Parts: sequence; structure tokens; C-alpha cells
Amino acid sequence: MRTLLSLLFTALFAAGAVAQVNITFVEYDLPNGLHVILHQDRSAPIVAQVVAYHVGSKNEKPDRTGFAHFFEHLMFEGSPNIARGEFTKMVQNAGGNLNAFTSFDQTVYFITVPSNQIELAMWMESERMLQLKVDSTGVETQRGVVKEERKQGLENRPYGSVLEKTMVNAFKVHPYRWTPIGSAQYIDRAAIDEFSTFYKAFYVPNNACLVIAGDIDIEKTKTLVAKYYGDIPRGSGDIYRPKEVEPPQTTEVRDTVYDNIQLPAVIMAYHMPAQGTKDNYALDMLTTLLSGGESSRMTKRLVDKDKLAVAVQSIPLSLEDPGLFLMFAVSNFGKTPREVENVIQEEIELVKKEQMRESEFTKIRNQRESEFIQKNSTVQGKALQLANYHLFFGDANLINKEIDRLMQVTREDVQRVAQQYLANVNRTVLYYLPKAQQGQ
Amino acid sequence: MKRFLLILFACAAVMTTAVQAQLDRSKIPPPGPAPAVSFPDYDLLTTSNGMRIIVVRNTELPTITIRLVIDREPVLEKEHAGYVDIAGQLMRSGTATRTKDQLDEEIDMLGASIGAGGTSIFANGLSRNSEKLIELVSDITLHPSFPKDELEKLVMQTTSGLKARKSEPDQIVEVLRKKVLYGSAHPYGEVETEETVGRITREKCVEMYRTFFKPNAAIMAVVGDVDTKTILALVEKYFGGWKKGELPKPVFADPQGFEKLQVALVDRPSSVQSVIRVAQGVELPRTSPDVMPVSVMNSVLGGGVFRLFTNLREKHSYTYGAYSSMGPDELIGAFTAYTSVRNSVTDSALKEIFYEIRRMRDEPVESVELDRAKSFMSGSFVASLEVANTVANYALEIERYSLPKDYYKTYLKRLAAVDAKEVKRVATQYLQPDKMLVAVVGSSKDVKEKLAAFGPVTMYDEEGNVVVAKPATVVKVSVDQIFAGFLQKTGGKAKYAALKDKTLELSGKMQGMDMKLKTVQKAPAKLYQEMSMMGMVQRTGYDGTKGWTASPQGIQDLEAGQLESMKVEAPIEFYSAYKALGYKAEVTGVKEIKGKEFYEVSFTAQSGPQMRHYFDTKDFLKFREVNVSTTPRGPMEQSTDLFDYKDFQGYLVPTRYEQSVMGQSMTFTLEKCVFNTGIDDKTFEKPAK
Repeated sequence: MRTLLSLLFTALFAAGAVAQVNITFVEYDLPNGLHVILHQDRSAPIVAQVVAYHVGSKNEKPDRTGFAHFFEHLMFEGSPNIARGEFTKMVQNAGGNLNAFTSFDQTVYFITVPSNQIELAMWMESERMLQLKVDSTGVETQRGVVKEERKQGLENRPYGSVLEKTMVNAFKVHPYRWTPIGSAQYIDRAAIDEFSTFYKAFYVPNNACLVIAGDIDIEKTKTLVAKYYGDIPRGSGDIYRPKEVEPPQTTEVRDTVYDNIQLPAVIMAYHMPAQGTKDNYALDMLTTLLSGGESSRMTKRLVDKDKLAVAVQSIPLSLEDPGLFLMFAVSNFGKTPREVENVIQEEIELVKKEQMRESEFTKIRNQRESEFIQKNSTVQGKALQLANYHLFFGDANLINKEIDRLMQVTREDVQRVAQQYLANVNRTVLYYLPKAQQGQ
Repeated sequence: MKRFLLILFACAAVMTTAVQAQLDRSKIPPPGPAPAVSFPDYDLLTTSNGMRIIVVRNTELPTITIRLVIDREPVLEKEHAGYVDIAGQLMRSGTATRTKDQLDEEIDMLGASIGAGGTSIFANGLSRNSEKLIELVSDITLHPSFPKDELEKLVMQTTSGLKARKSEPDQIVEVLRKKVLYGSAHPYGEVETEETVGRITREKCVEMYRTFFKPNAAIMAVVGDVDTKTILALVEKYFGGWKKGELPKPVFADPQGFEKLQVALVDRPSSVQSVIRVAQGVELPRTSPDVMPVSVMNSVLGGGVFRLFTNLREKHSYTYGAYSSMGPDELIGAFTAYTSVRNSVTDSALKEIFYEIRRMRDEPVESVELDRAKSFMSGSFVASLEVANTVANYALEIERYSLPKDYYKTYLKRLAAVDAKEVKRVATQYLQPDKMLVAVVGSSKDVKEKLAAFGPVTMYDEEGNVVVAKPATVVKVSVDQIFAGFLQKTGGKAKYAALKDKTLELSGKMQGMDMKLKTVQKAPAKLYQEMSMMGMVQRTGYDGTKGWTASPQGIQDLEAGQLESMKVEAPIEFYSAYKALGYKAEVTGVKEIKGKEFYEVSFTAQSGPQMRHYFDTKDFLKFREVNVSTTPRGPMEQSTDLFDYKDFQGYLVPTRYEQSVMGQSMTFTLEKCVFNTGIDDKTFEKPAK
């Protein structure tokens, strides 16, 4: 009877009785190579515009780390038609807001305005794609700002250096070994003519995706897109994409970092396949099993039962090239990283040894389904996702469908990827210890 | 069913050419006609036992969010500071019919999440599970069991968090700001600590629940793909058994405020930035008509990319960001200007912050700026209506604070009515820069003197307690006198003139393992050191110009940083050699250590470690040497205490050394000490292999 019920249970969910996400949109390319996606959503009188450039910290040279992010700051400096210091003010004057971010693989700019200001947003964004103007005052000011940003987020913040330390230890060859914020010494060396070269190479329409979502008329917007972005010339040169392939890691890497912290932390980073691949999705589901919700394996064991950790998280750092499967745990006061690591290892071995229970499998599927549905609540969020799905997966419709890929992962898959990728020789382990323990 | 994409269209090329001729990029495109703004409606009902329910229907996504808020006065927690929130969290950890494990499993299985705290219980999930979620919230709200072992767990986790707080500058500054600005007799000035949390008992948690959790004090906001009738029926069904009752209505005296500007500083030696809060209390209840002009005024001063940001970041590059916030409150509202700046510009940044605050009071704001602020606020408000939960929060506010029912419907109209005169009036009325609190967490060594320019500086620890400083002793002795005294005491002029070489052998323990250390020095400044532990030997040498190190791994030249350290350690008599090494020495105070007093002499140089040496004020015997080196993670201090001086061939030498680095210590004992035995120069030269 129980088997029958559980089979029925599984069948129900395997059949894809998943709540549907139905975001409709139009997409096409301009002759200059710009990919355009338009999505109408009239629920609020606002419009979100996103331009994602396919350039990030991995396109940098080793002696110019932080360059792409520094350049992101310079993209607010204006154009022949927008005076220095006016860019953000113009958007605010119109009742809008704007921001940008740089990651390992892309740099994304977004402006959200009341819907009657859509032309302003398009004019401004196309101005800086076509003819950004940077002078040395701008460069020197932002150089200082970027260094303060690094201090605030990394040097003055407990555990702030975790990502930086993890990447440099896990990657020996690939540009992922440095992080987008880069290093102050190279930030200091970046020269104004280098920015010009960078701009001409990467900030071209054929290296970008434009998304406009919100209170728009599709046909009218197509006309506006042609008006503002149509005259921007396609980039003439080749776009540099790093060719380095990180060789398989064959020995465990371990290191200790002394930081201004009170509670020790453990970081474990395993190499994993790039986003969009079958095993990447299986590892993604594994993170939900391990730390998604209060009843998840790691949370229940380390935080609730053994009281070893204040918090534990497994995170898939899914990137365009193979990234890392991360585990991060902050230990309770008086507990050592070794104790925490040992228990994490026990839980990992359990996953490898036995397939998860049927009910657990149903649970993590429900959790991911719920999460997927709730992702799409704002026009700005939807626009960012559409750009991301096009740029890295070549399929914007994944905004509706990516959940299906997660739902195709089986219990066998999860067990297999744990066995295959969560091997000691494939990992970097960092202990973060309070400075008071240095010399012990 | 497959979904079909709407397909791209083909005429783009033709259209583009036709339109291009019309674009004049030099002109800023004018806006179209302003779109209509509709404020979403919501339903407000009351159940038979007095619970208020707000329902905001939003069918965009098949989700439901439930927020149950207890509308009560703030609580003065005193020696149990933290208990209200912990009692709230404990409600989630078990009910009469469900253990925490069971709750966790059930909630995760729904793909939902439920959390609880001192003021509210929050649930979120898919709307098809609405009844289940309401039932779970009701179980947690009506039948919490307050398990003792779960309380212990929460206390343990909270305690860990409080320890971690000691390293987080943003959290320390918030503790500092609250405690100093409001004082610990006010509920807003209370700070939970390990001590207060350690006192929390199950009884205290139950007491909190019985005092405050009553249906007539509860407002539940439900948002999502729901309908009001169904929700009301479900709430009546599951919450019907909840009994009404009265809540206490305490009255709190307003915090005193300051007669003049105060500076509060928490020393964080490793800080590379000062985390700054310029703060003041403001009497501004939510029903005050000044709330809107104050909001506009704050926007111009420090909302987003306005005056503080433009000045401190765009103009001066002091910081990644500088902002201000100013909000109403029924007890006492708050103004805070906040930023993090590198140490060296702490005073410059504060100067600019006060410059901008004063400018808001002294000069009417220009119409360009005012219009921009109002446009920005208007746009933000309209954009916020996109999120149904925000609408629910607005509705909650109207209920809790007895605001006019159309408060948010009239928002844009009231915003439009604010003019420059109003902005200046509220700036002058509410901002008192001469009486503000400057709260800083940073490196005292780098910033304390800079802060003194703004007002009297009081030092605090990370929990907001005043640190009592010893009165500074007036020091009348010079460095030369101290060094001469030390040399006289430990051998005398003649002996030091005759000093050719010195050999020390020490033994010690490191991590339970025996260690031997040998040091050989030859006048004027050659140094050889040998350390052996567990059969492994590490040797270093400095011959006056070059330095090397040899270990089982091989022989290497010393790196720049290590070479500098060796250079400083090498002179056989440091006090006649320090100037040539580029150091300046000065007496920087008198320090009390374990009941005795010592002169502090600080050595500073352009490069190389900074040092402090401590000499007994009575006999000039040196008690302590401190080395401060700079690492990428900040300054690192290494300290050696010297005990039990004994006579060796007429020289006084310490026979016990206690070395500590940031609180961890190792002891070394002197086994052998000989002078002037004749040491070959070869000892200090780099070996062949």
C-alpha cells in the first residue's frame, strides 16, 4: 500500500503538475547585432530597461584586475550630450532609479522610470553605448571611489575576503582566480587610454542584449528601439573571450586565513560544470537538499541538532565557464572549524552513500517550484532575468521553462553528482580564524 | 502544451532608416503624458474576537504572503534585554501538537517559509496552500509550547551572534548610536548583550506571550492570489479560539538629548575605514503634517544621489556612499547621516557632512534640486505600488498609527505641495547640528585626535559602555635620559663600549612541542638565529647588508619585509643604532601594567615595523617590547615581556621571555648567556649549502 501511494505521489509530480509561469515577450536582432527583448506588463505605470554587456572580470588581463568594474563606474560619466555628474540626476528628475553591477561574466546596467519617460531611458542608455565621454577628472574620482568600495566590502568587513580567497585558491589558470572588485594595486595603474580601448572592444551592440519590460506598447517600442539604438555601429574587432581552461584539480588545497572575526568559518569549494549543463542542475538541486529550508540536511544537523554552527549554506556559484559548488558555515562560539568540517563531510558521505528518500525528493522539488514562481514579481526583476537567460543560455524563454530542467533531475542524478564532484581532490578548503589564534 | 514564442519581425532594417533622420541626440527627449496612478484597493475587516485583517488581492502570481503583526507599545526589557525577540522566535520552535522538526518538515514540504519574532509572524508560499499556511500560522500563534531545549539553542545562537557583532563595525556603530543617543532607560537605547540574553528563562518567554499576544492587538495582512471572503472564513475558523485581553500601556520619558555636540568613539585598531553616524532624535509622530516636508528635506540632503553623496563621493572620493535617513516615530523619531570613509579623511568627511546639514538650514533649496527630489520621491512611490506587499505595509501603517484612511491616496498631492520655504523651515526646526551625536567606529590611533576637533571625545567599548581612561601623567623625562638609564642599569657605559658579541640560548614550548632558540650577535649589527623544533632546524642570518634563511627545504635570500625586520633586530645595542636605521623615538606616555608604571617610548620610521618599548619609571629596566607590523589584513601586534633579569659577566639580561601575539602567549627560558667569546664573521654569512 505504501509503495503504491509513494509511486502515485512521485507520478503526480513527475507529470509536471507544476504551477505555470507565463511571461510573454517578443525578441529580435537589430542589424547592428543588438539583441532586443520586449515584455509588456501593464500592472504598474513603470518601465524597466536593462542592457547587459557580455563582458566581466574574466575578460580582464591579470595585471588589470578590477578593470571591468572600474569601467562600470565610468559609464555614469556622461556623453557629448550629457554633462558630467548629470547622468543619475536626469533619471531621478524623471522619477526613476538606476544602478549597475559587474560580475565574472557580464556587466549589467538598468534604469527604471515612469512609463511616460521611456524615451529618456532609451536616449540615455543608447548615448553611453554610442559615445561615452570620459575625462581624467572622472577617472581619478572613480579610482578613489572604487578603492573605498573595496575597503567597505572587503577589507573592513568580517569574512569580506571569502570569495577572493576562495577563487584564488581554487583557480590556478582561469581568470576566475580574481574577483570583479580586483586589486587596489592594479586599480591604481589603469590609465585613461586603456579605458577607451576597452570601450571600443566590448561596449558594442553585437556584444549586448537590450530588454524593455513594463507598461509599454510593443509596436511603438520597436520603433523607439530602432530610433535610439539603430544608429549605433556594430563593433569591428574580435571580442576577446578568455581561452584558458582550468585543468582538473587533482590535489586538495587547504589554507587558513586570519581575519578580524570572532567566530571561525569553514569554506569548501568544489569545481563544478558550467551553468546550463545537466550536472549543474543536479548539483543545484543538491544545494536545496543540503541547505534549502529549516529541515534541510546541513541546517538540521549542524545548526539544529549538533549546535556546531550558527549558519550553514551551500551555494552553486554557477558561471559561464565551470564554476564552484560552495559550502559556507560559521561555527558557534567555542566550536572549531575542524569539528564543523568533519560533520559536513559526514553529511556529504551520507548523500553519496544513499539516495535521498522519496518524501525528501518531493520536498525539494516543491521548494524549487515555489521559488521559481516567486522570482518574477517585478518588471525590473523580469527584465534582468530575460537578459541573463538570453546572454548565457541563448533562450530567453527559460524564464518560463527553466524549472522544467530542475524537475528533470532524478534522485539518482543527485547521488551521482555528489559522488562525482564532491571529492576531496576536487576541492579547496579554507578555515577563517580569528586573528587572536594566529601563532597557535 | 507547448508554449509558442511570439516571433521577431522582419522589417526592422527599413524602419530604422526611415526613423534615423528624425533623431537629434543633443535634445533630451520630453516625457509623454503622465500615466494614471491607481492606488490598489484593499479590504479591512475585523473578526469576532477583534483581529483586524487587511487583504490585498494580487493575481499576478499564484502566491500568498501572511504577516501577523502585534500592535503594541515598545517594551523596556532591562536586565533581560533581547527577551521579547527571542520569545517570539521561540514560538516557531514548537507547538502543542508539533515539534520543531515536524514544523520544519511540513513547511519545507509546502515549499513555503514561516518565521516568527518579537513583533510579528510571517508566512509565504503558494496560494493553493492558503488554508494549510493559515492553519500553521494559527498553531504557532495560539499554541506555542516554548520548549526549554529550543530556548537554549536560540540563546546559544544569539550569543554567538553577539560575539560576532564585536567584529562588525556597522553593528557596533548601531549599538553605540542607540545607547548614547537614547540612553539605557529608554526602550530604544537598550542593547542586548551576552549577559542579558543569558538571563532569559522559559518563564520570561511565556510571560511575554501572555502579555502581548492577543487578537485585539493583532493585525494580519494577507497579500496575493486570494479572496477576502475565503480568508475571513479561514481566519475565523483557525483563530476563533484566541481570547481577547488588555495590553499594558507604558509611558516613556523622552531621551534628554545633548547640550552640545558629542563625539563617541569605539576603537577598532584593525579598521581601514571609519564608520560614521551623525545622529539626533526628532520629535515627529506619524500624524504630524511635517512628516512630508521632512521627507523631502531629507531626500535633498541625503536620499540617494543627492547632497551628501555628491559631496563626499563624487566630489571628494572619500567614500563609496554617503546618505541620510530621517523618519517619524510615536515615541521619538531619528535623523541619521551615515557613511564609511578611509581613516585619513575622517575629519574632512565630518566637516562636509556638517557643511551640508547647515546649508539645509541656512539657505533655501534651489528649485532645480527641489523638483528633482520631488520627482524622485514621486517615481519611487509609484514604483513601490508594483509590489503588493508594499501596499499591505502602507495599509498596516494606516491601521497602527491611526492615519487618515486616504493617507497614501493623497501622498502625491501632499508631496507636490511642499515648497522651498517648507523645506528650510523643517530643516531649521528639526536639525540641530550643534547638539548632534557623532558616533564613530574606527582606529583610535588614526582618528581620535581628528575627532577631538568636533567636540569632547568619549571612548566606548563594543557594547556601548564608557571606557574609563586614566588621566594622562605629565612626563618630564626625555628619551635620551631613559636610554642612558637603561644602559647604566644593565651594565654601564664602559661595559657597553667593550661589548663585542653576545650569544643567548633559550628553550620554550610552542603548541605543546619543545623548541630551542639560539641568537648570536656581533657588534655593531650582525645577527644569527637558529630555531629547532621536532628535529627540524631553521636558521637566519644577517651580515650587516644581506640576509638569508636556511631550512631543510633549502637556502634563500630574505624577502624585503623579513630583511627589514632583521635589520631592526640586529644591532647589538639598539639605542645607539636606531637613528641610523631611520627611526625617531619619543616618549609617548606612562603606562600602568599590573600595578607598576612604565615610560612608553615609541619608535616610528618610514618603513619597517613600528615599535614601543616600556621602561620601569623607577629603575629604567625594560619590561616590554612591542612590534607592530602591517599585513594586508591590517596592523598586527607582537609583544614580548621581559622578566627576572640576572647578571652575566656584568651585564643584566632577562632570563624569562613571554611573547604574545593578539592575546596568545608563549614562554621562553634563558638556558645560556655568554658575552665576548669571539665570533667568526662566517657565522653570519650565507652558507654554501
